Amino acid sequence: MKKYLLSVLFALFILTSVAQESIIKDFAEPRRPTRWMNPICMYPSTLRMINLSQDPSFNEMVNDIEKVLIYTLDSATAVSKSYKDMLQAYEKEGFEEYITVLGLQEMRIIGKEEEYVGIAAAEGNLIAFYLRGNIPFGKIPTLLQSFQKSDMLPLLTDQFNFK
Amino acid sequence: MKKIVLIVMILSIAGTAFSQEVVSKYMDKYEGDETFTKVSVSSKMFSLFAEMEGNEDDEKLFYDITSKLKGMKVVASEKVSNPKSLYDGAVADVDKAGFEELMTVRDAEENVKISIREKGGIIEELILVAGGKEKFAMVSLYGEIDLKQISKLASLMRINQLQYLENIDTSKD
Repeated sequence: MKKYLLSVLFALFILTSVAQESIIKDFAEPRRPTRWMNPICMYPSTLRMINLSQDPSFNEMVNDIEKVLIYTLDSATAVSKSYKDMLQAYEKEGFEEYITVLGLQEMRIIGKEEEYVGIAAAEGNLIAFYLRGNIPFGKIPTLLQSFQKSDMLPLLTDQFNFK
Repeated sequence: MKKIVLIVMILSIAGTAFSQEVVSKYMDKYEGDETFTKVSVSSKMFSLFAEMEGNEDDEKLFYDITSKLKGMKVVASEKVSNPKSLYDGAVADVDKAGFEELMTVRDAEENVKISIREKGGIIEELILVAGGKEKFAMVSLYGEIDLKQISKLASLMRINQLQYLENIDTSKD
């Protein structure tokens, strides 16, 4: 009986994780700018690979990240701001606001337990992301500074024109 | 006894709801105006800092200060057509909400007013209003605020709108 209960609980946990991830997938897949522009999917090992300068603080930061999904979204979504629907769908699942920046540039991060979803929009470019795991938010400003100083993460900065 | 508990509970809920109301009003007013930057950092974000342990002194100090904060709201614009009336209106709204003046700076470039609301000797909210020739900014920090630490936080975070807070630890003694 115990084993059965454990299996059901485990299956439920997996299903819930997949469900939370599926909201962003269902929203973002049809809104990719081009068919061949696939989402970037990263795990701790791949995250460490893009750290070209092998900055130890970056590796330390990504250690507890289980998965990151990054979608580039088309300009129609950026203009219509329909990404709000996706964020609302997550809020219905209990995700709460962490940080919101509105203006010429936009950024929103919402989260629930160890799952975070967000968007970042600047100069007509729009990305949506999903992150599962732990991330030391306090270290992000320091890391961004190191990105600017070094050639770290050219893959991301080139792709999203965030230079 | 039950009645007293209920009244205290209602009053504390009302107090929390009233908090941040002034800046939230401005955030709502300029929601669709892209020339205004609106920032909202929630208690969830600050609670993450509370769980962290910094290695360096600056990091430790940052986590220590932010763990006591419940949120931050910023409304700012670099290009407003009526900065004087916007500044005067915001200052009047802050005064009306029962905040007490902590510090005012007036020079040829800009006016800055920092106000606080205290409860039981603890500063629960700090509002900064700044107005320049074309600029306007309104910042609200709420939670448990230690003025000496906030001035350090301002220098650590390097956020333009918080630069005026760097000198406030000497202003309230």
